[in-house]
Amino acid sequence: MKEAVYIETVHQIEQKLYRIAKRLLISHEEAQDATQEVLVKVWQRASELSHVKSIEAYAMTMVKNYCYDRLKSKQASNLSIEYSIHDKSHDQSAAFEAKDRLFFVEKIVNNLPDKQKLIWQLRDVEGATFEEITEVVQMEPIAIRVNLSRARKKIKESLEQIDAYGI
Amino acid sequence: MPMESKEIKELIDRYLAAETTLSEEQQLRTYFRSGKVDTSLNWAKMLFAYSETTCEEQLNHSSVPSSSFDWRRIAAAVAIICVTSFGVYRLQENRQQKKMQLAYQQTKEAFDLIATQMNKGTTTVSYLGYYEKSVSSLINK
Repeated sequence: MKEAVYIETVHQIEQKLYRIAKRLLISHEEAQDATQEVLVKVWQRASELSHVKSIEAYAMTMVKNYCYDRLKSKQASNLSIEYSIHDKSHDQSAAFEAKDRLFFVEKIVNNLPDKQKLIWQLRDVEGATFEEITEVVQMEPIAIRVNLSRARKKIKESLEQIDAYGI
Repeated sequence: MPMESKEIKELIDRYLAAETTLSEEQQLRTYFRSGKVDTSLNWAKMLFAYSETTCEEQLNHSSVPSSSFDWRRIAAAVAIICVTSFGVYRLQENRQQKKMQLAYQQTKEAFDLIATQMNKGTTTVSYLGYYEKSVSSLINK
């Protein structure tokens, strides 16, 4: 593989990992740590993984596991409390800006259950196929579709509420 | 137009049921990007707009070093090293000078002490002269 191509691939995977980690952990610093940790581990095993597609799926699975571990640990729960406080201040300023509506979408998505959040992120943001999602989340394709459908419907409902009643 | 919106609504229903393919989802994305939509689909416009912007979210390495040398930083570092080392050198020199002065003073004091004691000694010893005189006078008698 040419060096430039390789760097570009790693960069793309890195961004993907970061977005997934940020979706699950919310905090930017935590997501950054997760990305770094996983990239180092992937790097160590890169020779065992033959092609790029498998590296990507492998890295995404690792970042998912890492984030779930973080969420389980006490430290992460403290962080989420911290974040929700920060969230409120943002909320107030955003309430006066009707154009800042995308922020509400983010809030709604972030309030989804972790599993739905992850699947929604993989599908609607990263554009992953169902096979790829299956590999990452280790669930039956049917269960994935159910979770994805629930996530999308939930987002729709919440957004319709905002639309109808204002904020 | 009504035909198209009907088609879109059908696509949306399938999207909500998670039955759309990736290309169909892309179709929805381009549709909602293009502009006006039915108010009942406002939520979808927001959702697709969000998923598209968040896709561009980047991890910025704030701590990545710049590729070229920052000469100003290096110059500053060199200047600091020069100034401190010169200062230390001067300080040491100063201290040595003081030490030497102190040593000189102490030696001088010591010599003074020796001189006064010596004078005392000689005056005392001079009495021995009398003793010798008287002894020799007795012997010569």
